[in-house]
Amino acid sequence: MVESRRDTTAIHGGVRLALRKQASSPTFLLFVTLVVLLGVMGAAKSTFLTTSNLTSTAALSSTTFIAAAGFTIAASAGVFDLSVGGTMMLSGVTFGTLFQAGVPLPLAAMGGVLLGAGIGTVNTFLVTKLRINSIIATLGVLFIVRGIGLEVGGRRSTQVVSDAFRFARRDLLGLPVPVWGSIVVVIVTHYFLAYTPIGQRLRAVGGNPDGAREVALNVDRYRTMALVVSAGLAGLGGIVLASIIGAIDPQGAIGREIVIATAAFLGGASLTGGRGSVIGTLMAVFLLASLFNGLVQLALRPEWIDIASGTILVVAVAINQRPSGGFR
Amino acid sequence: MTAPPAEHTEATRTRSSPKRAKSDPTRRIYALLVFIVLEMSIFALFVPDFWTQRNLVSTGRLNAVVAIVAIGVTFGLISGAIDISVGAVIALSGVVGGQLLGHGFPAPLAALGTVAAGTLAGLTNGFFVTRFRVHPLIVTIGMLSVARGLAFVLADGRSVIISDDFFNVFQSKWFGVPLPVLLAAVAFLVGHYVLAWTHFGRYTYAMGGNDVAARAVALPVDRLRTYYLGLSGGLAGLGGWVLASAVGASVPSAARGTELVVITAVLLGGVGFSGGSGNLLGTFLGVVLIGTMVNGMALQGLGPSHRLIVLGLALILPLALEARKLEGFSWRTSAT
Repeated sequence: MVESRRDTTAIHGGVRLALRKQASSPTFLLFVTLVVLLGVMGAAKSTFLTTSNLTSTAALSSTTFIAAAGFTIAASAGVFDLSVGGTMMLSGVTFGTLFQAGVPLPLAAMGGVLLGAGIGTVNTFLVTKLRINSIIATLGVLFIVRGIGLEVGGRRSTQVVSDAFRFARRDLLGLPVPVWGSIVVVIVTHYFLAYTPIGQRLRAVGGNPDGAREVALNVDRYRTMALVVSAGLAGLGGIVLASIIGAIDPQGAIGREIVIATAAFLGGASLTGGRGSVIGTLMAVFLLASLFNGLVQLALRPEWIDIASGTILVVAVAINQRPSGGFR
Repeated sequence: MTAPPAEHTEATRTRSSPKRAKSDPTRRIYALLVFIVLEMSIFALFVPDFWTQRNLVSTGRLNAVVAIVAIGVTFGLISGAIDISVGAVIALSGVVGGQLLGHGFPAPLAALGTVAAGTLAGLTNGFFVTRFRVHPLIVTIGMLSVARGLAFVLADGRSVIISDDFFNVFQSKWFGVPLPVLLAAVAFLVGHYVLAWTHFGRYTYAMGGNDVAARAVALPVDRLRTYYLGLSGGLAGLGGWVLASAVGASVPSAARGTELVVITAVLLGGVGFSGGSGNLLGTFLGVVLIGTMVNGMALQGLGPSHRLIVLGLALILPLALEARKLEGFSWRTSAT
């Protein structure tokens, strides 16, 4: 009897410990916040908690999420890719231009993703070869890519009138295509980052580069991989974005890198590397998108989203980093 | 003998993370000077309208706000705290000034209000950095959103024309020089004196260079960091007044992206991204180089696309050119 009681307390203790660990994890806090937000918005506005509204929010935020998943992987490896907004734009422009030139859709899409990976390779060169801080290097690349976009595409956006090009506006088994895209990306990238040896080493390289070198990990190789994956996913996000708006837009996705970075840090990524969760990022993207959607439905100035997202970012990072201490 | 053999230390040294050598500020300044002289001579020779008093004066006026704001950002960055929020703080403080005037406050008070609003935003940044230990980059990205949103909410999304003579003092000229340019010049002189010759200024290098040592010698690191970020915000507020005054309107969407131009100029001027190095002369030359470059290219009929490419190259090229000096640098793939 006594033993069995001890067993149950042990189990209870374990559960409680696991729960406490869970309760302080960024992902869990984010989940609670999201549920509360959806509840409040739903109570304030009956049109908010409807399937159609939620799926359209998810569809619209999917491009941000696809790119943010890449940003999260890079941030886990301790490198930051601020060029993602520019990459999204230029990949979309490439995709549309190729398609209009008569290239078949899958090849045009592949061209867009490859261009993204190419930008990632440039980032890689600057960061691993020339040892430029990734924030500065990718900011410089962001400027240059935006300049090239304006130079190539002009300042006006061009409509692409084609049902095939606008594949992302279609539904598949009741869900919009971009949502399926997000689902595939979240499963693949989360599995990659959390459960594969390469993902674990990526995080090791990000959290403690010197230690990783001591155990003979090739830090530069993992950072290369992270930056190329990040830019490639940004390219994919850009293609879906171009398909949703149905146009070649050389001014598209302006400022998206700030939203993406906000979502990744909100989701538990850290500026010192080594941490980051694709699931957390996904929830953060959806949280920001529903917040925006809710504010618009409540007929508030959309600029309140800026105030809200800035505040949430700082507060969330302050809470998330309590255990590790943070900036000194 | 406990000292390890020489090969061992050598091996550990090359194995530890390759560090970027601190760039030499004096060398960077000479390089910038040479580059500016070259670039301005080329423009003066080949672009007809470049070397005219009118064009140079108007270029100065356009870049005065960037220059003033860059002073504060230089203080912050040398002390190890980047401030990305300045663009939005410029807009917010301009809106605060416009709203104060609109509600019947006297113009000097409205002008003071712009600087106060900026300082408050900067001190808020400092509070979150020092109290909650959030990285300055994240805090100021947050403030970038919050201040921009507040500017729109306060202004109700509208621009307001300002027609007060005192508030619009920055439209005037003294001896042919626009007042914003004079203010920027004075601010640079004062800033340079403070940064180079006072304790308040020298502490930035101590904190940015070696935070632990700065704490060990009992510097009030947190308080100083808050002050530096407050200074950065206050100068952005001043920039907001200058901009609103020169334009004659408070515009909530003003100065979008200015933070990136400012940061680019400061980094180009030789302030290291991780702090502890650089000076205001470099920042000044960075602002001049970017300002004249953009102006000359615009006169040549080159549009915003080239402006963006120049900004990008200004960020990357100096660091890329210095790469040869890095420890163990090789163009081939390294073994580690």
